[in-house]
Amino acid sequence: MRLSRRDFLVKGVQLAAGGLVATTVVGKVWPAGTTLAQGKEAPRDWTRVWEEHEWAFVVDTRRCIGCGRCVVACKKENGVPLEAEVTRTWVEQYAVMADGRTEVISPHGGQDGFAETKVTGEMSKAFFVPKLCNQCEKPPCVKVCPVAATYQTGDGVVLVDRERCIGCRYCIQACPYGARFLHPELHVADKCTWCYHRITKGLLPACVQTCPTGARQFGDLKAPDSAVKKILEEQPSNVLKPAMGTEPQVYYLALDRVVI
Amino acid sequence: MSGPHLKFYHQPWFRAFLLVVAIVIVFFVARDLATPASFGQYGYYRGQNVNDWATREVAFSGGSTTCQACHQDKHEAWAAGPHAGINCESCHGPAAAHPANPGQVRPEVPAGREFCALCHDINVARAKAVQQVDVAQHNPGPDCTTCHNPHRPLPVGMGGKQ
Amino acid sequence: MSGFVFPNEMEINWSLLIVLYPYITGLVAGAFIVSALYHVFNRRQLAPVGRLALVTALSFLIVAPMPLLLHLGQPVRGLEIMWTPNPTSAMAGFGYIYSFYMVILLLEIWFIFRSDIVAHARSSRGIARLGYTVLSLGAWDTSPRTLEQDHRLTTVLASIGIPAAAFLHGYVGFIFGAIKANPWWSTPLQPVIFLLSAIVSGMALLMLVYAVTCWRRKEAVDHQCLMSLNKYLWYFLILDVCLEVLEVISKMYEAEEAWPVIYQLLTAYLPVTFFGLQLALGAVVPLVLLTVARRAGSRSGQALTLLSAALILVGVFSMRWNVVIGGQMLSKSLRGFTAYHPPFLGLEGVLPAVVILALPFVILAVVCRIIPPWSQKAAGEEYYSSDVEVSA
Repeated sequence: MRLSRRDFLVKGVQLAAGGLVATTVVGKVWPAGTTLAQGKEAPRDWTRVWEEHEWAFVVDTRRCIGCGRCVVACKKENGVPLEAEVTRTWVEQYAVMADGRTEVISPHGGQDGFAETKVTGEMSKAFFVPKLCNQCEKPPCVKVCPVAATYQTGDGVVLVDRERCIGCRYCIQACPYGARFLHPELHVADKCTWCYHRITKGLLPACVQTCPTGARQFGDLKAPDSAVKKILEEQPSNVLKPAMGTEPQVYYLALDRVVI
Repeated sequence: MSGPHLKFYHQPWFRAFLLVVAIVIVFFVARDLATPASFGQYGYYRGQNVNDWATREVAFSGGSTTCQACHQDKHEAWAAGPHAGINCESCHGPAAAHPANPGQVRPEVPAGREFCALCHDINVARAKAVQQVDVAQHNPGPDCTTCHNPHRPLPVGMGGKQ
Repeated sequence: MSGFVFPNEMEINWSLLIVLYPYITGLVAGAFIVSALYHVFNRRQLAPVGRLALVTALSFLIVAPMPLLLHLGQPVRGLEIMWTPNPTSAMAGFGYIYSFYMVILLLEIWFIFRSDIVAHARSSRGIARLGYTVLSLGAWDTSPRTLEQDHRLTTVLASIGIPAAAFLHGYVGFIFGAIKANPWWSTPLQPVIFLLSAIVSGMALLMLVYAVTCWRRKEAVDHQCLMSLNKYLWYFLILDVCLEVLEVISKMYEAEEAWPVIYQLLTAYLPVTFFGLQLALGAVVPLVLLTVARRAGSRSGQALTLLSAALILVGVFSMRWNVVIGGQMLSKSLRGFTAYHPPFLGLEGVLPAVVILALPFVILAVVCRIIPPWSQKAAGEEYYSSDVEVSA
């Protein structure tokens, strides 16, 4: 390899040109480029849409029964392979034993339920905790993305641009909640979007809609008679890892202190 | 910098300088060409991507009222029993594509004891409000639906199976 | 996997290749610092390695982005980091810092080797002559006055290069140190530790490269030069180790929420690579050996110094492993650990890692063929050995 600065320049130009062609042409053939169903509706002026909404997600841990229908629904709604370990949402089963130990499990994200892993032994309490992206108001994942492929929308949802993500996985490292993962088929970062394609059409996120017990609730704090707003105003709530300063927008009711 | 002994454009520093300028120009041109059109529309990201996400097709429909139009009988049974409020697609899976093409796109009809066990098997972590049985011990063998109407699951003798 | 880890933590995201990346950039930074000690701070005893250090830095710098590119989920989009760098991302700086440093390094090498290149161009014919002519950019003048100008520019470039090298590696430490989600990474000491271990590893590498090239060229190792490097290495190593230990001690003393899992990580998952390789074999033993070497005889002194250098290279590699892999083994649930055993084959396996680590040496051999860093004949020799003060 003969490396003069001129050669380096030539290489650089080739690389740059190659990169351009690659990003535009190959990027369309690469699986990540083809998965999004493109514009059925006319583009909207999002700044005006965003002004009208402030989404919030409420999880009531007392109601969760660990059936895992939310995990299955999420994967089907959002194209995450069912057989993959990675997931946008999952359910953890906690058992605080009589001796003070805490046992936590989430087999396959809880998507097949917890029949094989019934809690046994002497215990003081046991419960389920659903987890998902907290759509932090101050998202560390957005801060660290080197190419600005992940961003926060005006109504507070953190999304990943699948046509721009380079798959460096820095955002996965930066998320304190383990909510992000590399999509096993698309090779780009993936995460819960609160079903952005549903909530912008006036529908509920798939996990909320399929939850049989109402453990997951979703709503717009700016809507009149907002149910989630009422809950948050009337009941004590908490967020996960508040000391991280991420200001999550997923609020937990009856969150036990052993939950991390 | 340049002495009188050499014209400045023959001097090494000038040759090096030219090369650096060329690199910088190439960089700016390339950056201009490579930056996506809608980048910066709403913030420091590709604005078009908001549309990309918002216009994705849904897999799950809008909810149980969508199903009611055609499945009035099931809906009535469901609305009167303890499963009322549980969305049809919680058990039947994504069905948004079903109404447009009912013959081809058929929602799941879950069978087998394991499916009901997801919610109703005994588990101390499970909220007591949900009816729980030890599925392994409770009439082992036949499907739950042999005795229980899944849309209106009441104990046998109280109108469980129609 | 043991204990509870989140479903998305079943596999380690940053693999062996990301261990290599800070390792290789560290070697670049360290080698460059040695060249700066000579070219900027006029440490004359380092003359035998002054030019070798630069081409070594270049060879490793060329390879530095390779593990990153191979690791990307979308390698063809790698250049996005140049077009739309996110100003709030530590990682986004990579493209610009790397390019800036590369330009500075190439310019410095060009000005230092220009008289050699011109001499080669004059004495060769055919394709070689064409190649050297291109390399010279047509600037063939080697009058003392022009060379003196080259030299002044070299000093300026090397002076810019020092902060650039420090920045290139310090910021790699920041990439890890600024991740509050990871209690093992998150510390303001991380950039300093990365920089110091970079300097240490680069010096150690250069000593070995120098010794091997001497052996290959059947020349004696310059004892004064090697012992001088020995001393610098010792100073930087003691600083490096102190900070590495300080980091763990303060975490232990503060005993925050995550300390019990960090303790478990160090004692149950990383005892060999942390206590054994990083601290004992990679730091304490070399510190002792380097001290002994300076008091030992010429041959044994050199042997001990080179042995220390080899141990340090292993130690710093272990340090990178302990940070990059160790930090990911520890679950953010603070309740479990993810296992990691790199596969041998595959894009992120041991084999590509070995190839990537061997590549800089191949590049170095080729560069040394084109512009031999030791033959200070032609005009350069006169200049560097005669201590001519700038007269203009």
